[in-house]
Amino acid sequence: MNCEEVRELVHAYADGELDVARSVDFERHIANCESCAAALRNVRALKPAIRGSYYAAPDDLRASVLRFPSSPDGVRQSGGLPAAERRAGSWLLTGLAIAAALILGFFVGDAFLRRSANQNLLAEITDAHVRSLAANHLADVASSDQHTVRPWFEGKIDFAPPVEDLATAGFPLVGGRLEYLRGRPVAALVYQRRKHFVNLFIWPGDHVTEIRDEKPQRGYNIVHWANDGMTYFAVSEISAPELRQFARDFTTALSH
Amino acid sequence: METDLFEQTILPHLDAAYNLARWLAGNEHDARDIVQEAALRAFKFFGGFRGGDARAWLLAIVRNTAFTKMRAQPAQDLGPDDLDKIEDTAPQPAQVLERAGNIEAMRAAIAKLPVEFREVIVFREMENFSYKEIAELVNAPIGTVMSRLARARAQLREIILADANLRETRS
Repeated sequence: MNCEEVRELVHAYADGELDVARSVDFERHIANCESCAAALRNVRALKPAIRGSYYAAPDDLRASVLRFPSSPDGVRQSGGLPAAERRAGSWLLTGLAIAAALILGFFVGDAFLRRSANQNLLAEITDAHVRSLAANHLADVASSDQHTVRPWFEGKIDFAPPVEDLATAGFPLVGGRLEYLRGRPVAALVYQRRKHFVNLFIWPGDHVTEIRDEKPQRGYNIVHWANDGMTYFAVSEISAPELRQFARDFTTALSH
Repeated sequence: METDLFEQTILPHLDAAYNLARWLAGNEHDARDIVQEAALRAFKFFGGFRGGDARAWLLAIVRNTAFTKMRAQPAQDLGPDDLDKIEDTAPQPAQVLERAGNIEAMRAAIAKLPVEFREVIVFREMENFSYKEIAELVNAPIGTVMSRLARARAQLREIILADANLRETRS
């Protein structure tokens, strides 16, 4: 691969869209070509802040989208629909039917909704873990120093994740990166255990939860807990007891 | 139950819907309207959704709703879709690196991109869609998606640098 070809593929490479063979050629080239390596760095440098520019839906919007079918007024306010769709009569009928369905479905549906949302989250967490290992992209900021990793998150996410090096407990800190779960940017801390890695995902959350095992996903163990206004999910291929130990070590380190 | 299924399928992607609407509309008020209306349409057409990627399905509706509402069908002349003279391989100026890490500066820069570039940035960098998925969403060939991404990123760098220079001149 020459420079011209590499420049054409730099975005595809940075986006993980190159096949293995061409990726190998690409990497071989940039290992020996500083200006092409700079082109790749230029593309990558923008990524974390672009991701962080996400606008999450306001909570009241979530509530009003849920409520819209039973509220013909809300329908009319939204405007912009062709006249035929605006006929209040048909909406009122539809609205009533849906309202009835909602009331019936609420008690049954809520439990299902929560369970499936949780299952989605676990799948997303596992995907994020696998991706970080497969793409060899464990950390946006690679450092075992918590005083380097913690400030790195400032301005990239709207909360300050606690960062602790657990080297003394056998889980040295590898670094941190921005990850993307449930459509929101979250903090990911990476720890090493022998030859394995632990991804710890952190975002603000209210409920206090004891350390507990989640259902393993595709052979990966997941442990979940929450305290001090933060929710934690740790995922790794290490055993469940070891992962629980990690959770305890992290919590202990925080309280000191 | 249809309504439950709708909620289970659509609600998990409400953030994605709002984020796209927010970036296309440019303000919170219009973004809310677009999401409300898109949710309504999604509900109406839900019978036609036969599995697959619900997020992509919903975002396609949001995108259509937004473009209809804004009457801003892609019209700008973006020039030829080629990659020539786009790649800036000079080392990143310090201001770009510094400000590229700052979300407010980045948001201001993304907002200045033409809408065709803005949407591919949203789909690629914020939603992690593949080039193929983006091509289907914006109804353009994959090659066009690639060149728009390349040009969008080059423009982002330029805008961030220009904004940083402007700020320095003022202060």
